[in-house]
Amino acid sequence: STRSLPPPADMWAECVAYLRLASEERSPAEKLGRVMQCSRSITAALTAAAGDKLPGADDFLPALILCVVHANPEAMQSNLDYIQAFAREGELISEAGYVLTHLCSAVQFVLHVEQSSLSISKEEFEAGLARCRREMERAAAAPPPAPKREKREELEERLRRAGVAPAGGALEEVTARQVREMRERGEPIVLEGAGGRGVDGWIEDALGGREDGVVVGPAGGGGGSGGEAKGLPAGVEKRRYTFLGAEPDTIRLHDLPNLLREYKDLVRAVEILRNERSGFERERERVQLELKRKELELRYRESRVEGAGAGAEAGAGAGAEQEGARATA
Amino acid sequence: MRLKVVLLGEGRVGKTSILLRYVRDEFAEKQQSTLQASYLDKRISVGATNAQLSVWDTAGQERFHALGPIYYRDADGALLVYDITDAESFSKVQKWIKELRKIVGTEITIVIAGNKVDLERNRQVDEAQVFEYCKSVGAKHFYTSAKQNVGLSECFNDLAKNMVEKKKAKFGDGVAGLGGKGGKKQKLVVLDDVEPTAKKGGCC
Repeated sequence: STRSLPPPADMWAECVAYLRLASEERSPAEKLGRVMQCSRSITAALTAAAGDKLPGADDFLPALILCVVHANPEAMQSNLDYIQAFAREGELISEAGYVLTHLCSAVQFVLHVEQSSLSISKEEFEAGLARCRREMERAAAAPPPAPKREKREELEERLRRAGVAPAGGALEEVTARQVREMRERGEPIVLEGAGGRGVDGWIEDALGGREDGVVVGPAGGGGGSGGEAKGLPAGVEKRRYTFLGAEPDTIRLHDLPNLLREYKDLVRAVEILRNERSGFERERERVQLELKRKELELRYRESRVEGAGAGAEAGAGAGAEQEGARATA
Repeated sequence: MRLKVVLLGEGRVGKTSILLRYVRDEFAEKQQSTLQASYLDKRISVGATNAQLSVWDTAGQERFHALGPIYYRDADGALLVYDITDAESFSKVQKWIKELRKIVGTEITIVIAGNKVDLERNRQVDEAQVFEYCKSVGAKHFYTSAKQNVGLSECFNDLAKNMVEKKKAKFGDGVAGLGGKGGKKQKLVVLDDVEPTAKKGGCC
Protein backbone atom coordinates (compact mmCIF):
# COMPACT_ATOMS: atom_id res chain seq x y z
CA SER A 1 0.00 0.00 0.00
CA THR A 2 1.04 3.61 -0.39
CA ARG A 3 0.13 4.59 3.16
CA SER A 4 3.18 6.14 4.74
CA LEU A 5 3.86 5.12 8.29
CA PRO A 6 4.81 7.64 10.96
CA PRO A 7 8.28 7.28 12.46
CA PRO A 8 8.48 4.57 15.14
CA ALA A 9 8.92 7.02 18.03
CA ASP A 10 5.59 8.65 17.23
CA MET A 11 3.95 5.28 16.83
CA TRP A 12 5.15 4.24 20.23
CA ALA A 13 3.82 7.45 21.79
CA GLU A 14 0.50 6.65 20.18
CA CYS A 15 0.38 3.16 21.76
CA VAL A 16 1.11 4.63 25.19
CA ALA A 17 -1.43 7.42 24.76
CA TYR A 18 -4.21 5.00 23.81
CA LEU A 19 -3.55 2.86 26.84
CA ARG A 20 -3.74 5.91 29.10
CA LEU A 21 -6.98 6.98 27.47
CA ALA A 22 -8.48 3.60 28.35
CA SER A 23 -8.43 4.65 32.00
CA GLU A 24 -10.14 7.93 31.25
CA GLU A 25 -13.06 6.54 29.31
CA ARG A 26 -16.24 5.75 31.19
CA SER A 27 -18.05 2.75 29.77
CA PRO A 28 -16.50 -0.71 29.46
CA ALA A 29 -17.09 -0.57 25.71
CA GLU A 30 -15.21 2.73 25.38
CA LYS A 31 -12.36 1.46 27.52
CA LEU A 32 -12.16 -1.69 25.44
CA GLY A 33 -12.15 0.44 22.31
CA ARG A 34 -9.07 2.30 23.54
CA VAL A 35 -7.37 -0.96 24.47
CA MET A 36 -8.03 -2.19 20.94
CA GLN A 37 -6.61 1.01 19.47
CA CYS A 38 -3.54 0.50 21.62
CA SER A 39 -3.22 -3.08 20.41
CA ARG A 40 -3.54 -2.06 16.76
CA SER A 41 -0.94 0.66 17.21
CA ILE A 42 1.46 -1.81 18.79
CA THR A 43 0.93 -4.25 15.93
CA ALA A 44 1.47 -1.44 13.41
CA ALA A 45 4.63 -0.28 15.20
CA LEU A 46 6.03 -3.81 15.38
CA THR A 47 5.21 -4.44 11.73
CA ALA A 48 6.92 -1.21 10.74
CA ALA A 49 9.97 -2.16 12.78
CA ALA A 50 10.19 -5.72 11.46
CA GLY A 51 9.54 -4.93 7.82
CA ASP A 52 7.45 -7.58 6.12
CA LYS A 53 7.04 -10.00 9.02
CA LEU A 54 3.82 -9.78 10.99
CA PRO A 55 4.32 -9.86 14.75
CA GLY A 56 3.07 -12.85 16.71
CA ALA A 57 2.36 -13.15 20.41
CA ASP A 58 6.08 -13.68 21.08
CA ASP A 59 6.64 -10.08 19.97
CA PHE A 60 3.31 -8.61 20.94
CA LEU A 61 3.26 -9.47 24.64
CA PRO A 62 6.70 -8.00 25.48
CA ALA A 63 5.74 -4.83 23.58
CA LEU A 64 2.46 -4.61 25.47
CA ILE A 65 4.26 -5.06 28.79
CA LEU A 66 6.62 -2.24 27.90
CA CYS A 67 3.62 -0.15 26.93
CA VAL A 68 1.94 -0.81 30.29
CA VAL A 69 5.11 0.23 32.10
CA HIS A 70 5.54 3.40 30.05
CA ALA A 71 1.90 4.40 30.20
CA ASN A 72 1.49 3.45 33.86
CA PRO A 73 -2.22 4.19 33.50
CA GLU A 74 -4.22 5.27 36.47
CA ALA A 75 -6.00 2.48 38.37
CA MET A 76 -5.01 -0.12 35.80
CA GLN A 77 -6.10 -3.16 37.79
CA SER A 78 -9.42 -1.59 38.79
CA ASN A 79 -10.06 -0.74 35.17
CA LEU A 80 -9.43 -4.31 34.07
CA ASP A 81 -11.71 -5.64 36.82
CA TYR A 82 -14.32 -3.10 35.83
CA ILE A 83 -14.22 -4.04 32.16
CA GLN A 84 -14.46 -7.73 32.97
CA ALA A 85 -17.31 -7.25 35.40
CA PHE A 86 -19.41 -4.91 33.33
CA ALA A 87 -18.68 -5.50 29.66
CA ARG A 88 -21.51 -7.19 27.84
CA GLU A 89 -20.94 -10.84 27.14
CA GLY A 90 -20.49 -10.34 23.44
CA GLU A 91 -17.83 -7.69 23.95
CA LEU A 92 -15.27 -9.99 25.50
CA ILE A 93 -15.05 -12.61 22.80
CA SER A 94 -13.04 -12.58 19.61
CA GLU A 95 -10.18 -10.21 19.19
CA ALA A 96 -11.21 -7.88 22.02
CA GLY A 97 -11.21 -10.79 24.45
CA TYR A 98 -7.84 -11.86 23.18
CA VAL A 99 -6.29 -8.43 23.54
CA LEU A 100 -7.80 -7.92 26.99
CA THR A 101 -6.37 -11.26 28.08
CA HIS A 102 -2.95 -10.13 26.89
CA LEU A 103 -3.39 -6.93 28.87
CA CYS A 104 -4.32 -8.84 32.05
CA SER A 105 -1.34 -11.02 31.43
CA ALA A 106 0.96 -8.01 30.94
CA VAL A 107 -0.25 -6.49 34.21
CA GLN A 108 0.31 -9.81 36.01
CA PHE A 109 3.82 -9.91 34.63
CA VAL A 110 4.61 -6.42 35.85
CA LEU A 111 3.09 -7.18 39.27
CA HIS A 112 5.15 -10.30 39.84
CA VAL A 113 8.28 -9.49 37.90
CA GLU A 114 11.54 -10.85 39.25
CA GLN A 115 15.06 -10.38 38.13
CA SER A 116 15.18 -13.91 36.71
CA SER A 117 12.44 -13.09 34.19
CA LEU A 118 14.28 -10.07 32.85
CA SER A 119 17.36 -9.88 30.69
CA ILE A 120 19.24 -7.51 32.98
CA SER A 121 21.81 -8.47 35.59
CA LYS A 122 20.98 -8.99 39.25
CA GLU A 123 23.05 -5.93 40.18
CA GLU A 124 21.26 -3.78 37.65
CA PHE A 125 17.88 -5.01 38.87
CA GLU A 126 18.72 -4.40 42.54
CA ALA A 127 20.15 -0.96 41.82
CA GLY A 128 17.05 0.01 39.88
CA LEU A 129 14.76 -1.23 42.64
CA ALA A 130 16.75 0.65 45.29
CA ARG A 131 16.57 3.85 43.25
CA CYS A 132 12.82 3.56 42.87
CA ARG A 133 12.37 2.87 46.58
CA ARG A 134 14.40 5.96 47.46
CA GLU A 135 12.30 8.06 45.12
CA MET A 136 9.08 6.71 46.55
CA GLU A 137 10.26 7.33 50.11
CA ARG A 138 11.26 10.86 49.25
CA ALA A 139 7.89 11.44 47.65
CA ALA A 140 6.12 9.99 50.68
CA ALA A 141 8.16 12.11 53.12
CA ALA A 142 7.51 15.38 51.32
CA PRO A 143 4.11 16.85 52.08
CA PRO A 144 1.78 16.38 49.17
CA PRO A 145 1.57 19.51 47.05
CA ALA A 146 -1.46 21.27 48.43
CA PRO A 147 -4.02 22.09 45.79
CA LYS A 148 -3.67 25.75 45.08
CA ARG A 149 -6.52 27.47 46.81
CA GLU A 150 -6.47 31.18 47.38
CA LYS A 151 -7.80 32.53 50.58
CA ARG A 152 -10.99 34.49 50.22
CA GLU A 153 -9.28 37.75 51.22
CA GLU A 154 -6.55 37.28 48.63
CA LEU A 155 -9.12 36.56 46.00
CA GLU A 156 -11.15 39.62 46.89
CA GLU A 157 -8.00 41.70 46.64
CA ARG A 158 -7.15 40.23 43.28
CA LEU A 159 -10.64 40.73 41.93
CA ARG A 160 -10.66 44.30 43.20
CA ARG A 161 -7.35 45.02 41.50
CA ALA A 162 -8.72 43.56 38.31
CA GLY A 163 -11.68 45.89 38.69
CA VAL A 164 -14.14 43.04 38.75
CA ALA A 165 -15.31 43.08 42.32
CA PRO A 166 -17.66 45.81 43.47
CA ALA A 167 -15.44 48.65 44.60
CA GLY A 168 -15.38 49.42 48.27
CA GLY A 169 -16.95 46.68 50.35
CA ALA A 170 -15.85 43.10 50.59
CA LEU A 171 -17.50 40.46 48.44
CA GLU A 172 -20.77 39.49 49.88
CA GLU A 173 -21.48 35.85 50.34
CA VAL A 174 -24.60 35.16 48.41
CA THR A 175 -25.64 31.65 47.66
CA ALA A 176 -27.66 30.69 44.64
CA ARG A 177 -30.54 29.82 46.87
CA GLN A 178 -30.51 33.27 48.47
CA VAL A 179 -30.52 34.80 45.02
CA ARG A 180 -33.49 32.72 44.01
CA GLU A 181 -35.39 33.49 47.19
CA MET A 182 -34.73 37.18 46.77
CA ARG A 183 -36.07 36.97 43.24
CA GLU A 184 -39.14 35.14 44.39
CA ARG A 185 -39.78 37.91 46.88
CA GLY A 186 -39.32 40.36 44.03
CA GLU A 187 -36.33 42.12 45.59
CA PRO A 188 -33.89 43.80 43.23
CA ILE A 189 -30.60 42.01 42.82
CA VAL A 190 -27.59 43.85 41.53
CA LEU A 191 -25.27 41.57 39.67
CA GLU A 192 -22.89 44.17 38.32
CA GLY A 193 -19.37 42.87 38.28
CA ALA A 194 -20.54 39.32 38.57
CA GLY A 195 -21.24 39.01 34.89
CA GLY A 196 -24.68 37.70 35.58
CA ARG A 197 -23.42 34.54 37.20
CA GLY A 198 -23.74 35.41 40.82
CA VAL A 199 -20.92 36.40 43.12
CA ASP A 200 -20.65 32.86 44.34
CA GLY A 201 -20.05 31.67 40.84
CA TRP A 202 -17.01 33.89 40.63
CA ILE A 203 -15.67 32.74 43.94
CA GLU A 204 -16.18 29.09 43.06
CA ASP A 205 -14.46 29.56 39.72
CA ALA A 206 -11.52 31.43 41.06
CA LEU A 207 -11.00 29.18 44.05
CA GLY A 208 -11.04 26.17 41.80
CA GLY A 209 -13.96 24.89 43.80
CA ARG A 210 -14.41 21.80 41.67
CA GLU A 211 -12.70 18.74 43.05
CA ASP A 212 -13.03 14.98 43.02
CA GLY A 213 -13.11 14.71 39.26
CA VAL A 214 -16.42 16.37 38.70
CA VAL A 215 -17.05 16.62 35.03
CA VAL A 216 -17.90 20.02 33.69
CA GLY A 217 -18.69 21.26 30.25
CA PRO A 218 -21.39 20.55 27.75
CA ALA A 219 -19.37 18.15 25.64
CA GLY A 220 -18.24 16.12 28.62
CA GLY A 221 -15.19 14.61 26.99
CA GLY A 222 -11.76 16.17 26.74
CA GLY A 223 -11.62 19.89 27.34
CA GLY A 224 -14.00 19.94 30.25
CA SER A 225 -14.68 23.42 31.43
CA GLY A 226 -16.41 25.01 28.48
CA GLY A 227 -17.09 28.68 29.04
CA GLU A 228 -20.86 28.40 29.21
CA ALA A 229 -21.01 25.83 31.96
CA LYS A 230 -18.52 27.56 34.21
CA GLY A 231 -19.64 28.94 37.48
CA LEU A 232 -22.88 27.12 37.97
CA PRO A 233 -24.50 28.24 41.18
CA ALA A 234 -23.26 26.71 44.40
CA GLY A 235 -26.47 24.76 44.83
CA VAL A 236 -25.30 22.29 42.20
CA GLU A 237 -21.77 21.67 43.34
CA LYS A 238 -21.43 18.07 42.34
CA ARG A 239 -22.02 17.51 38.72
CA ARG A 240 -21.38 14.13 37.24
CA TYR A 241 -22.44 13.36 33.72
CA THR A 242 -21.92 9.65 33.81
CA PHE A 243 -24.08 8.78 30.87
CA LEU A 244 -22.80 11.12 28.18
CA GLY A 245 -21.11 8.27 26.36
CA ALA A 246 -23.88 5.78 27.01
CA GLU A 247 -25.90 4.07 24.32
CA PRO A 248 -29.42 2.79 25.01
CA ASP A 249 -28.27 -0.80 25.26
CA THR A 250 -25.37 -0.05 27.58
CA ILE A 251 -27.64 1.32 30.28
CA ARG A 252 -28.75 -1.16 32.86
CA LEU A 253 -31.61 -1.19 35.29
CA HIS A 254 -29.38 -0.40 38.25
CA ASP A 255 -28.19 2.72 36.45
CA LEU A 256 -31.64 4.25 36.73
CA PRO A 257 -31.37 5.81 40.21
CA ASN A 258 -28.14 7.55 39.18
CA LEU A 259 -29.55 8.57 35.85
CA LEU A 260 -32.62 10.02 37.52
CA ARG A 261 -30.55 11.85 40.10
CA GLU A 262 -28.27 13.32 37.45
CA TYR A 263 -31.28 14.30 35.40
CA LYS A 264 -32.86 16.09 38.33
CA ASP A 265 -29.62 17.87 39.16
CA LEU A 266 -29.33 18.90 35.55
CA VAL A 267 -32.86 20.25 35.46
CA ARG A 268 -32.27 22.12 38.67
CA ALA A 269 -29.08 23.64 37.31
CA VAL A 270 -30.75 24.62 34.05
CA GLU A 271 -33.66 26.25 35.87
CA ILE A 272 -31.37 28.15 38.21
CA LEU A 273 -29.32 29.37 35.29
CA ARG A 274 -32.36 30.42 33.32
CA ASN A 275 -33.75 32.19 36.31
CA GLU A 276 -30.50 33.97 36.90
CA ARG A 277 -30.18 35.00 33.29
CA SER A 278 -33.66 36.40 33.05
CA GLY A 279 -33.04 38.20 36.32
CA PHE A 280 -29.88 39.64 34.90
CA GLU A 281 -31.66 40.73 31.73
CA ARG A 282 -34.43 42.39 33.69
CA GLU A 283 -31.82 44.17 35.75
CA ARG A 284 -29.98 45.35 32.66
CA GLU A 285 -33.21 46.58 31.14
CA ARG A 286 -33.99 48.47 34.32
CA VAL A 287 -30.56 50.09 34.32
CA GLN A 288 -30.91 51.06 30.67
CA LEU A 289 -34.32 52.60 31.23
CA GLU A 290 -32.97 54.45 34.24
CA LEU A 291 -30.15 55.86 32.11
CA LYS A 292 -32.53 56.85 29.36
CA ARG A 293 -34.81 58.53 31.86
CA LYS A 294 -31.92 60.51 33.32
CA GLU A 295 -30.79 61.52 29.85
CA LEU A 296 -34.26 62.69 28.94
CA GLU A 297 -34.64 64.59 32.18
CA LEU A 298 -31.32 66.26 31.56
CA ARG A 299 -32.27 67.25 28.03
CA TYR A 300 -35.61 68.48 29.28
CA ARG A 301 -33.99 70.62 31.92
CA GLU A 302 -31.47 71.99 29.43
CA SER A 303 -34.20 72.94 27.02
CA ARG A 304 -36.06 74.68 29.83
CA VAL A 305 -32.98 76.72 30.69
CA GLU A 306 -32.16 77.58 27.05
CA GLY A 307 -35.27 79.43 26.22
CA ALA A 308 -38.67 79.52 27.79
CA GLY A 309 -40.51 80.40 24.60
CA ALA A 310 -38.68 78.47 21.86
CA GLY A 311 -38.04 75.31 23.91
CA ALA A 312 -41.58 74.89 25.16
CA GLU A 313 -42.71 72.59 22.34
CA ALA A 314 -39.66 70.36 22.47
CA GLY A 315 -39.90 70.25 26.24
CA ALA A 316 -43.47 69.03 26.09
CA GLY A 317 -42.39 66.29 23.65
CA ALA A 318 -39.53 65.16 25.89
CA GLY A 319 -41.83 65.18 28.87
CA ALA A 320 -44.27 62.84 27.18
CA GLU A 321 -41.42 60.54 26.28
CA GLN A 322 -40.25 60.56 29.84
CA GLU A 323 -43.70 59.57 31.06
CA GLY A 324 -43.65 56.67 28.64
CA ALA A 325 -40.29 55.46 29.89
CA ARG A 326 -41.51 55.56 33.46
CA ALA A 327 -44.55 53.51 32.63
CA THR A 328 -42.41 50.81 31.03
CA ALA A 329 -40.06 50.72 33.97
CA MET B 1 -20.58 -23.16 18.26
CA ARG B 2 -17.60 -21.14 19.36
CA LEU B 3 -14.37 -22.96 20.06
CA LYS B 4 -11.28 -21.49 21.58
CA VAL B 5 -7.89 -22.96 20.76
CA VAL B 6 -4.64 -21.86 22.32
CA LEU B 7 -1.34 -22.25 20.53
CA LEU B 8 1.35 -23.28 22.97
CA GLY B 9 5.00 -23.96 22.42
CA GLU B 10 8.43 -22.54 22.93
CA GLY B 11 9.49 -19.37 21.18
CA ARG B 12 10.76 -19.91 17.61
CA VAL B 13 9.08 -23.31 17.07
CA GLY B 14 6.87 -21.60 14.52
CA LYS B 15 3.55 -21.10 16.34
CA THR B 16 3.10 -17.73 14.78
CA SER B 17 4.08 -19.00 11.33
CA ILE B 18 1.48 -21.74 11.59
CA LEU B 19 -1.14 -19.17 12.43
CA LEU B 20 0.09 -16.77 9.77
CA ARG B 21 -0.05 -19.45 7.13
CA TYR B 22 -3.64 -19.98 8.14
CA VAL B 23 -4.25 -16.20 8.16
CA ARG B 24 -2.51 -15.61 4.86
CA ASP B 25 -4.59 -18.23 3.14
CA GLU B 26 -7.63 -16.41 4.46
CA PHE B 27 -6.54 -12.84 3.96
CA ALA B 28 -4.08 -13.03 1.10
CA GLU B 29 -5.58 -9.92 -0.51
CA LYS B 30 -6.16 -7.64 2.42
CA GLN B 31 -3.10 -7.74 4.55
CA GLN B 32 -2.89 -4.69 6.77
CA SER B 33 -0.21 -3.39 9.01
CA THR B 34 -2.62 -3.45 11.95
CA LEU B 35 -3.72 -7.00 11.32
CA GLN B 36 -3.58 -8.90 14.58
CA ALA B 37 -1.34 -11.75 13.47
CA SER B 38 -1.59 -13.58 16.75
CA TYR B 39 -5.35 -14.06 16.71
CA LEU B 40 -7.52 -15.75 14.15
CA ASP B 41 -11.22 -16.42 13.74
CA LYS B 42 -12.06 -19.13 11.26
CA ARG B 43 -15.37 -20.70 10.33
CA ILE B 44 -15.10 -24.41 9.98
CA SER B 45 -17.70 -27.15 9.51
CA VAL B 46 -17.47 -30.44 11.29
CA GLY B 47 -20.04 -32.74 9.75
CA ALA B 48 -23.32 -30.88 10.12
CA THR B 49 -22.00 -28.54 12.80
CA ASN B 50 -20.74 -25.08 11.98
CA ALA B 51 -18.08 -23.98 14.37
CA GLN B 52 -16.14 -20.79 14.79
CA LEU B 53 -12.55 -21.42 15.69
CA SER B 54 -10.80 -18.70 17.67
CA VAL B 55 -7.11 -19.45 17.61
CA TRP B 56 -5.03 -17.66 20.24
CA ASP B 57 -1.31 -17.38 19.81
CA THR B 58 0.61 -17.15 23.08
CA ALA B 59 4.07 -15.93 23.94
CA GLY B 60 6.32 -18.95 24.30
CA GLN B 61 9.29 -17.46 26.10
CA GLU B 62 10.18 -19.13 29.38
CA ARG B 63 9.81 -15.85 31.27
CA PHE B 64 6.09 -15.78 30.42
CA HIS B 65 5.48 -19.38 31.41
CA ALA B 66 3.64 -18.50 34.62
CA LEU B 67 1.10 -16.47 32.65
CA GLY B 68 -0.11 -19.53 30.73
CA PRO B 69 -3.26 -20.24 32.79
CA ILE B 70 -4.61 -16.77 31.99
CA TYR B 71 -4.79 -17.86 28.36
CA TYR B 72 -5.90 -21.47 28.47
CA ARG B 73 -8.32 -21.33 31.39
CA ASP B 74 -11.45 -21.49 29.25
CA ALA B 75 -9.97 -23.04 26.11
CA ASP B 76 -11.64 -25.96 24.37
CA GLY B 77 -8.49 -27.10 22.71
CA ALA B 78 -4.75 -26.65 22.71
CA LEU B 79 -2.36 -27.05 19.81
CA LEU B 80 1.10 -27.73 21.20
CA VAL B 81 3.85 -27.06 18.75
CA TYR B 82 7.42 -28.28 18.86
CA ASP B 83 10.24 -28.07 16.37
CA ILE B 84 11.46 -31.47 15.16
CA THR B 85 14.97 -30.07 14.95
CA ASP B 86 14.95 -28.96 18.60
CA ALA B 87 14.75 -31.62 21.32
CA GLU B 88 14.35 -29.01 24.04
CA SER B 89 11.14 -27.76 22.43
CA PHE B 90 9.59 -31.22 22.80
CA SER B 91 10.36 -31.46 26.52
CA LYS B 92 8.70 -28.07 26.81
CA VAL B 93 5.57 -29.58 25.22
CA GLN B 94 5.56 -32.27 27.91
CA LYS B 95 5.75 -29.57 30.56
CA TRP B 96 2.78 -27.71 29.04
CA ILE B 97 0.67 -30.85 28.88
CA LYS B 98 1.28 -31.68 32.53
CA GLU B 99 0.22 -28.17 33.44
CA LEU B 100 -2.83 -28.24 31.15
CA ARG B 101 -4.07 -31.46 32.69
CA LYS B 102 -3.56 -30.04 36.15
CA ILE B 103 -5.44 -26.82 35.48
CA VAL B 104 -8.07 -27.60 32.85
CA GLY B 105 -8.24 -31.36 33.29
CA THR B 106 -9.37 -33.67 30.52
CA GLU B 107 -12.01 -31.28 29.23
CA ILE B 108 -9.51 -29.81 26.84
CA THR B 109 -8.64 -31.43 23.54
CA ILE B 110 -4.93 -31.60 22.93
CA VAL B 111 -3.18 -31.97 19.61
CA ILE B 112 0.58 -32.00 19.22
CA ALA B 113 2.24 -30.71 16.08
CA GLY B 114 5.80 -31.49 15.06
CA ASN B 115 6.62 -28.46 12.98
CA LYS B 116 9.34 -27.81 10.39
CA VAL B 117 9.12 -31.22 8.67
CA ASP B 118 10.73 -29.54 5.69
CA LEU B 119 13.92 -29.78 7.76
CA GLU B 120 13.60 -33.54 8.24
CA ARG B 121 17.33 -34.01 7.65
CA ASN B 122 18.09 -32.02 10.82
CA ARG B 123 15.70 -33.99 12.99
CA GLN B 124 16.66 -34.09 16.66
CA VAL B 125 13.47 -35.48 18.20
CA ASP B 126 13.01 -39.25 18.20
CA GLU B 127 9.81 -40.20 16.40
CA ALA B 128 9.09 -43.45 18.31
CA GLN B 129 9.44 -41.62 21.61
CA VAL B 130 7.07 -38.89 20.45
CA PHE B 131 4.39 -41.34 19.36
CA GLU B 132 4.70 -43.28 22.59
CA TYR B 133 4.28 -40.11 24.60
CA CYS B 134 1.31 -38.86 22.59
CA LYS B 135 -0.46 -42.15 23.08
CA SER B 136 0.15 -42.01 26.82
CA VAL B 137 -1.47 -38.58 27.18
CA GLY B 138 -4.27 -39.15 24.70
CA ALA B 139 -3.17 -36.53 22.23
CA LYS B 140 -3.15 -36.78 18.46
CA HIS B 141 0.05 -36.00 16.64
CA PHE B 142 0.55 -34.29 13.30
CA TYR B 143 3.57 -33.32 11.29
CA THR B 144 3.38 -29.82 9.90
CA SER B 145 5.34 -27.35 7.89
CA ALA B 146 4.15 -23.79 7.99
CA LYS B 147 6.69 -22.95 5.34
CA GLN B 148 5.42 -25.51 2.83
CA ASN B 149 1.82 -25.49 4.08
CA VAL B 150 1.88 -29.14 5.07
CA GLY B 151 -0.52 -30.74 7.53
CA LEU B 152 -2.07 -27.55 8.85
CA SER B 153 -5.67 -27.98 7.78
CA GLU B 154 -5.60 -31.67 8.80
CA CYS B 155 -4.31 -30.61 12.18
CA PHE B 156 -6.93 -27.92 12.78
CA ASN B 157 -9.75 -30.02 11.33
CA ASP B 158 -8.99 -32.90 13.63
CA LEU B 159 -8.76 -30.58 16.60
CA ALA B 160 -12.11 -29.04 15.69
CA LYS B 161 -13.75 -32.42 15.25
CA ASN B 162 -12.67 -33.56 18.71
CA MET B 163 -13.69 -30.31 20.37
CA VAL B 164 -17.13 -30.42 18.77
CA GLU B 165 -17.61 -34.01 19.92
CA LYS B 166 -16.60 -33.13 23.45
CA LYS B 167 -18.86 -30.13 23.57
CA LYS B 168 -21.77 -32.10 22.19
CA ALA B 169 -21.15 -34.89 24.65
CA LYS B 170 -21.12 -32.41 27.48
CA PHE B 171 -23.93 -30.04 26.55
CA GLY B 172 -25.84 -31.86 23.83
CA ASP B 173 -26.77 -35.03 25.73
CA GLY B 174 -26.82 -33.40 29.12
CA VAL B 175 -25.01 -34.74 32.18
CA ALA B 176 -25.47 -38.39 31.19
CA GLY B 177 -23.52 -37.79 28.05
CA LEU B 178 -20.33 -36.82 29.84
CA GLY B 179 -18.74 -40.22 29.43
CA GLY B 180 -20.10 -40.64 25.90
CA LYS B 181 -18.38 -40.13 22.60
CA GLY B 182 -15.37 -38.31 23.91
CA GLY B 183 -14.93 -40.84 26.68
CA LYS B 184 -12.24 -42.86 24.95
CA LYS B 185 -9.53 -40.38 25.71
CA GLN B 186 -10.82 -39.56 29.13
CA LYS B 187 -10.21 -43.13 30.24
CA LEU B 188 -6.60 -42.99 29.18
CA VAL B 189 -5.54 -40.05 31.25
CA VAL B 190 -6.05 -39.91 35.00
CA LEU B 191 -3.47 -37.43 36.16
CA ASP B 192 -5.93 -35.45 38.17
CA ASP B 193 -8.41 -37.05 40.51
CA VAL B 194 -10.49 -33.93 40.92
CA GLU B 195 -13.17 -33.58 38.30
CA PRO B 196 -12.86 -30.02 37.02
CA THR B 197 -15.96 -28.08 37.83
CA ALA B 198 -17.50 -25.76 35.32
CA LYS B 199 -16.21 -22.31 36.02
CA LYS B 200 -18.62 -19.44 36.19
CA GLY B 201 -18.16 -15.90 35.12
CA GLY B 202 -14.40 -15.60 34.99
CA CYS B 203 -12.89 -14.37 31.82
CA CYS B 204 -9.47 -13.33 30.58
